[in-house]
Amino acid sequence: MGIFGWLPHRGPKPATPDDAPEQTLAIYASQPAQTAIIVTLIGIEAEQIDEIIDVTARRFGKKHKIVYLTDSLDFMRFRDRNAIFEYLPSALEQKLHAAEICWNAYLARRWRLLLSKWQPVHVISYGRNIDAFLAAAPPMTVRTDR
Amino acid sequence: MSAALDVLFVADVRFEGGTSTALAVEIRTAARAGLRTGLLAIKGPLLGLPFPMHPDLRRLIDEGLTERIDPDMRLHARLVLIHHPTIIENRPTRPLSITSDKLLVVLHHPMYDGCGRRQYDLDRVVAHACDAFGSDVFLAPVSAVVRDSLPQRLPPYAHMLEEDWGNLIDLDDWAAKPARQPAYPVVIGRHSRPDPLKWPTAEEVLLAYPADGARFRVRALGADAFLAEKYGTIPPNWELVPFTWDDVPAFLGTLDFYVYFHDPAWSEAFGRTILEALATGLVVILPPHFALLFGKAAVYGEPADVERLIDGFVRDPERYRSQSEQARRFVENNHDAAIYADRLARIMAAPDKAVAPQGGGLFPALPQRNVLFASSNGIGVGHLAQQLAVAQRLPPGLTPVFATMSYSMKAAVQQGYQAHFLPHHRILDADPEDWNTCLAEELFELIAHLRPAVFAYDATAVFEGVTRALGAFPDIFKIWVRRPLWRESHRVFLDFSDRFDAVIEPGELAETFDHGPTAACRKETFLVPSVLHLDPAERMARQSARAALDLPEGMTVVAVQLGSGANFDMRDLRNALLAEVLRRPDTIALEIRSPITPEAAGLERLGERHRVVELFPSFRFSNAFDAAITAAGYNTFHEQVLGAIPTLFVPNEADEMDLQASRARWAELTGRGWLMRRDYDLGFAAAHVERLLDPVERENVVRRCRSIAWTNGARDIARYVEDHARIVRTDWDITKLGSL
Repeated sequence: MGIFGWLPHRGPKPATPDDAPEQTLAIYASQPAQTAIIVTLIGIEAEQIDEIIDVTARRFGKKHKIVYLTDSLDFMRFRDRNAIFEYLPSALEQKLHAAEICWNAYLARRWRLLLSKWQPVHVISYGRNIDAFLAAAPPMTVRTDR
Repeated sequence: MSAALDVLFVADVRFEGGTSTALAVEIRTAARAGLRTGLLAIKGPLLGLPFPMHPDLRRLIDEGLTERIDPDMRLHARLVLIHHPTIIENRPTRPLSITSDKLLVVLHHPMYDGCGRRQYDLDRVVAHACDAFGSDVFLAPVSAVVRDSLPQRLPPYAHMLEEDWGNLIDLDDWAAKPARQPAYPVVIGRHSRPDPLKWPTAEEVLLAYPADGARFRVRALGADAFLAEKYGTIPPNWELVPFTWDDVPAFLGTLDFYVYFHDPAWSEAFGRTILEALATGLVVILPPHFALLFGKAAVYGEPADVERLIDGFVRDPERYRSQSEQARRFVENNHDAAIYADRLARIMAAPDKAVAPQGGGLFPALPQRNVLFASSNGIGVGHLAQQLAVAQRLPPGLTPVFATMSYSMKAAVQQGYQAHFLPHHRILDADPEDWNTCLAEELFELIAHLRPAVFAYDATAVFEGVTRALGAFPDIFKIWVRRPLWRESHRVFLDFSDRFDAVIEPGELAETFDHGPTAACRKETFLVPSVLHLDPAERMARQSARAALDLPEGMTVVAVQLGSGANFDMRDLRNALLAEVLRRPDTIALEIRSPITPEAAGLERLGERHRVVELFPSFRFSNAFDAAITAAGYNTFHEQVLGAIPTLFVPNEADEMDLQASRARWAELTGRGWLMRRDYDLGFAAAHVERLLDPVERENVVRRCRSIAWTNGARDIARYVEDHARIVRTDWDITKLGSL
């Protein structure tokens, strides 16, 4: 169970006391005019990222907050362009650390959480799409490192 | 795979005093007797402060004399020994898969203190021990004092051992003190852990420990400022020695008489320190109630009798010698560790089949556990670098995983660690409250899937999102590593200290300049030496480093590292300093770019001898440098000074930063570097660089820096993490957890 019961299948939220404002899991909950789109950049060559950021910013940046979802570690490309981004470990990272976490379960939850957090009006994919990425996430393997 | 032990010791390994010392003797003696033993560490309810594992117990694990046990291991022990009843007064918060032929709880403490207050609930102790290990409970009081405090009618499933489980001493560790005839001024002494209750009342103290310096010197180990609080003025003939685990025998060897009186509110179950004094052959003077424990090995009286009793021995050296011998003999006959093997044999059932002897046969590996390192962004890589320092020193059975707000997260991934990014609200342009709500849920999901044994947080700011997520996992051991030299504006974060099980403070060279919010909290933190990512000895040799960086010999190389500039613009100062360095024909200015320097920062080259490189960790190459110009963040500052690199420190004085100017001031005033401030000293760049490049000045700084005695605190933190990663918690009552 999570803390705020953000997943629909968790059932109805308990009633909150009158004096406690209900907390909503959305990053712009207090800025309702703000809308977001998610642009996934999975398995994209680092050099292409700059161009995609420029293109998508021109196309959508005036109306929406653009959130890039990347598996690249080259965070400065985003920072240098003042781009908001979230990170998901790449397929290679998942494979390297398959004994430490159940990636398929975690990433499925993580994606749903990101959808709740950003409440995007669109999801645009560059490279591998998010469904394929999530479907390929490995289950937890037995530890063999000792 | 199931493991088998002869004896499993279950104990709160953090006790400072006699409980741990006695346990260490038992484990060592059992190992000598060829028994295979294990140690299951408990975090009991008595100790709230972040004590580390007792060094005697740590040594036993390090030497392979006992096995560290993980609570998830399946094992059978012929005997399970729970040391101290309070550690099982609450139920363990996780199920154990440990079975035993016999389960024994050693009662180190009377059920009631000197004021009649109950110290533990025996019914709960027995019930919880029975439930956790699945067998009847045998109670083993350490002394007649404890035995007498117990109820006649025992709880269900409890049985009383007929013999007391008295403390033991390895006499090899406690040599008899040299024979010496006492003469005025005699030396009266005592030792105990630093606790005011271990000392008599203010009315009695000067009777037991006289202030007459002509006749008495009073020497107390384990005494410090708390005595001044208890008594007011400390007499000038008293010598207070801070508590230490080492060198107690040597301390006792300096005394003529051992005098031990305590507060009436305290009830001493046994008095291991008294036993240690007797073992060295000291003449020991005690209150009469101890006669039940030590018989003729000591002499007894009230505080008012102390001077008279001492005088009697001073006047009769033969009686002094005889009493001294009697003391030592008493310990040899009743408390020598050599009797332990027989004691165990009396209560352990004969094994169905032999357990592999010590050193024989492989013991199963400890289950792998994750350790989650979480850090805020800062404007650099400092928090992450500190955590990498700790992670790299963890043993193979613990897997570091990182969750950070730092743009330099790649550094963790490149070192082979799993890492997750948690963007800070500032870069999302989000309301902090909305962000904290999301952060709590994101961290919750990560923790729920990783199931880390330890959560280690490194930051000055504690976010509500973090504490809310942690609140959902009361069983995870939570550590907050916070560096000193806070600004007053950071004080608000101190309120979050109690959300963590331990606060660790890495040592600060400029500690005497720290009067900030954390300075008053040091007693509540685990203090470790200064933390460096790399030890100075791990650096590349000068020739190799120069070759790797393509720096020719014969040139004076000045490394310049003024940070990312994200929150404190140093461009003017940088340009002035670089110009001064490059004005000389034999210099190279090697500007080290932070991995998170934005492109917009525009580190334009100012000439052929100005080179810009990205290095992480740059300290690895620092033997190539002759001098440096750097900011004074914790990591860089300590690397420069402990690495003996002559450095001109330019503090980042942004409001959100720690007090870097204080560090740099310390360096300048102790001859270990120089200070230059952006807003005060811009006009003096030439003079600063001239001094920095003066070989004599640099040599002086190097010499001063090398005089600092230091060990890497990263190792201490790693060991602390290791010791708490497999701990069973009984410090909170899981029955009250409700639906969380």
